[in-house]
Amino acid sequence: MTTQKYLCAEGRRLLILLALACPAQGSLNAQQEDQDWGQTPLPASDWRFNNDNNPAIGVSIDGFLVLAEDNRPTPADNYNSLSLRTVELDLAGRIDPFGWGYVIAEFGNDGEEESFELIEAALWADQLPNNFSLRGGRYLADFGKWNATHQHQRATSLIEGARLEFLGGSLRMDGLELHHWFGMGDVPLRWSVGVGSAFEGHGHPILPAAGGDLVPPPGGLESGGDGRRGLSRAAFTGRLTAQHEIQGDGYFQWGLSAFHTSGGRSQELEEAGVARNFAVGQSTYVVDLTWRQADGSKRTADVVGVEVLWNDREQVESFAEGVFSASGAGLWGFWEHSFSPQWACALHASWWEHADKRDGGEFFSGSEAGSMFSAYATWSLSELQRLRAGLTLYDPQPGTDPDLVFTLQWNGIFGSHVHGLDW
Amino acid sequence: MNSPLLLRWVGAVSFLLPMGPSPAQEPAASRDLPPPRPEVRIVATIPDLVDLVQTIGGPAVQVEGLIRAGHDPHMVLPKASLLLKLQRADGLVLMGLDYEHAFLPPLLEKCRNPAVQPGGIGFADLSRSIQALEVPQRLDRAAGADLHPRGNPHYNTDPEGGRKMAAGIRDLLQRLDPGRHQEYHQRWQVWDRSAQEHIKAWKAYLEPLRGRPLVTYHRSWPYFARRFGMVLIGEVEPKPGLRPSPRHLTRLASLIQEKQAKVLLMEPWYPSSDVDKLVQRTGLKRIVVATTSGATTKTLHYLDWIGSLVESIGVAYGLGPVPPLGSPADKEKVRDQARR
Repeated sequence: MTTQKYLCAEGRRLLILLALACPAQGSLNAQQEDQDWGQTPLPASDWRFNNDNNPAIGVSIDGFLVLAEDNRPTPADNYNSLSLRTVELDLAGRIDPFGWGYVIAEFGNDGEEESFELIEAALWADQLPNNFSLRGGRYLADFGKWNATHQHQRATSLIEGARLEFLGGSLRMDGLELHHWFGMGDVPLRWSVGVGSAFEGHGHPILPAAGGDLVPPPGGLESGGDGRRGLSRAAFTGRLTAQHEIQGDGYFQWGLSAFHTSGGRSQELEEAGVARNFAVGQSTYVVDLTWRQADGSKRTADVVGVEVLWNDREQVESFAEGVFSASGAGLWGFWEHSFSPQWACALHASWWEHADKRDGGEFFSGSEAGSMFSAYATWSLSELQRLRAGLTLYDPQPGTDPDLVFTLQWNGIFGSHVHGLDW
Repeated sequence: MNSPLLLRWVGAVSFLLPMGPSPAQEPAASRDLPPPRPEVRIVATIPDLVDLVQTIGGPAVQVEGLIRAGHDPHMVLPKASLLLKLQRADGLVLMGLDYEHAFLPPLLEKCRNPAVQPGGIGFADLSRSIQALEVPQRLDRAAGADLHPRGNPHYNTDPEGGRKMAAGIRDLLQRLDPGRHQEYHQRWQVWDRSAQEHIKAWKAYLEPLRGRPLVTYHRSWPYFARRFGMVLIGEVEPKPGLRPSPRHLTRLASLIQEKQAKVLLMEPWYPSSDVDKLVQRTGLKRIVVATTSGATTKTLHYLDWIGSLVESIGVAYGLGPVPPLGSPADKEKVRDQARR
């Protein structure tokens, strides 16, 4: 046992685990060691790999019923459907004392075909000095308050129209993101900057595509194809946010975020049988405001969130015309009131100018805007399972009749589940 | 340095040496102690711990709480302002046994303060001195939503548990600020003596109720019941964290009538509508009490909170008020003495 006194506490723990995992038929020395540690040798049938060091595993199932009044010229076959929208598989674990990693993969079903997508897979170096941390890999960018929150964790079942228009849902990057937080007096502030070689909008269409066609989200982001990409094709993000504590158990948070690529977005155009890919730029800015007030003495809570988006992008509509500039603004917000941990209701509204609007002179022209209004009622059987009914008036294209959409979402999480820091 | 100057220094030092107490004469505690710290910053999770840190720490210790009095600990949001408090703290006092699981792990992970991390000099998980009750035999979500894998964490409802909490706080403060070792010890001693007297009086007061049943909304009171010899016969929650079904309430009502239970302990954050019919049907007396001190002006201090609960139960079962240990002025004097 002379070597044991040199072992650190962690090493000793490991030794205990190893001793537990040792078959009883092992060497005499092993048995002796077991006894020294006060462990009863285990029978061979109990030999197994201890899972203490395995990643935590969580699964979220998001079932979805859509009933809609289809007012479009070409009705979709699968407009009224009961579908398994997504199954999300989450793995997370500490790598070593210097960092941790996580993987989120999604089995999706948009009504037409099933897909498997790696939503996020990133490493966090979270022990850098002075509150710095670095994330690298594929991740939902730190961009606005809600970008990194997955849809099944938000107050709405359908993705907010303004986000869908300008980002194609949530902004996802393959790159690096540097984070830093600090306190200014009693106010915590946080900033981040990111650079990505590839990016994409991640989201699910609000409704199945008309006529059975699968169409990407209207203003969705997509970076150029593979190959070597210089800084001109890279995308950059930045965010600054502060959270102010307010009376009671609540906070007010504001944030400023920016996304920019000078030529990293890819737009494909085909004319007379000739296809061409254009590298075009885009900048999107977001101002987010969030107010949350909880009353733990009654177990009620209110959350109000607003995001204002400004989008400036290059577009191509014909070879002859070439690249032109377009811009648009959008706004969305919600209010969620929790009557108890079991019952909650939410209202959501979203307006957006179309991303390809050429006349960028006017900041917000309501007459050209798409809109979306929703009301939700949520019944949580427990913290891990809920049913949510929603009614949405969806009017993506002014001048046509809006769709009235009823949704019923059944969401369950099993396996590992943790609460992250809310900011 | 030239030699005359050196000689002068040696002379001066040798002149001064005999004036101090010899190491053998000096009390051991003060001989090796560094000077007291100007200020010790402590973050404590629940109001009981805030009260005890204030009492034992006295004016040199600044303490901030994370859970508000009278609020459901499951509702605490891990927000950034708490992160800042933890980063600036010299010490963290927590209940442990996953009491704070809803908010503390992500804050500890991000606060970057080694002193308050598990194993750090300022980390005090007070559950380490407790023999936990109700440690589940197996972990299964079918057993409820609010599960505590390492046992029931509400040991603060037992005043003997409170004594262990106070001793843990004393140890933490002495570790962080050895210069005030004696001060912390004295304050703790005064408080502990008072706690022992109270416990003796409460046990004598509730002795006639030994073996009598108690009904609770959430399974928060097994430590309290064990200390005073009462029996928990059922909960309004069918499983931890779940609201009751009418069927469960009907069964519970039968049990209450069979066992002749008279008291329902219910935290203020649970909806009274869940138990209105039950109370009406069975004649239970509902005692609304938080699982920590500080929720009302009469229960601002830990011992006052336990005392008030003891008396409420006694009165519900037909006992008179708890005989006073001393006048309110005497109690205040004891508290002041402890603070000083």
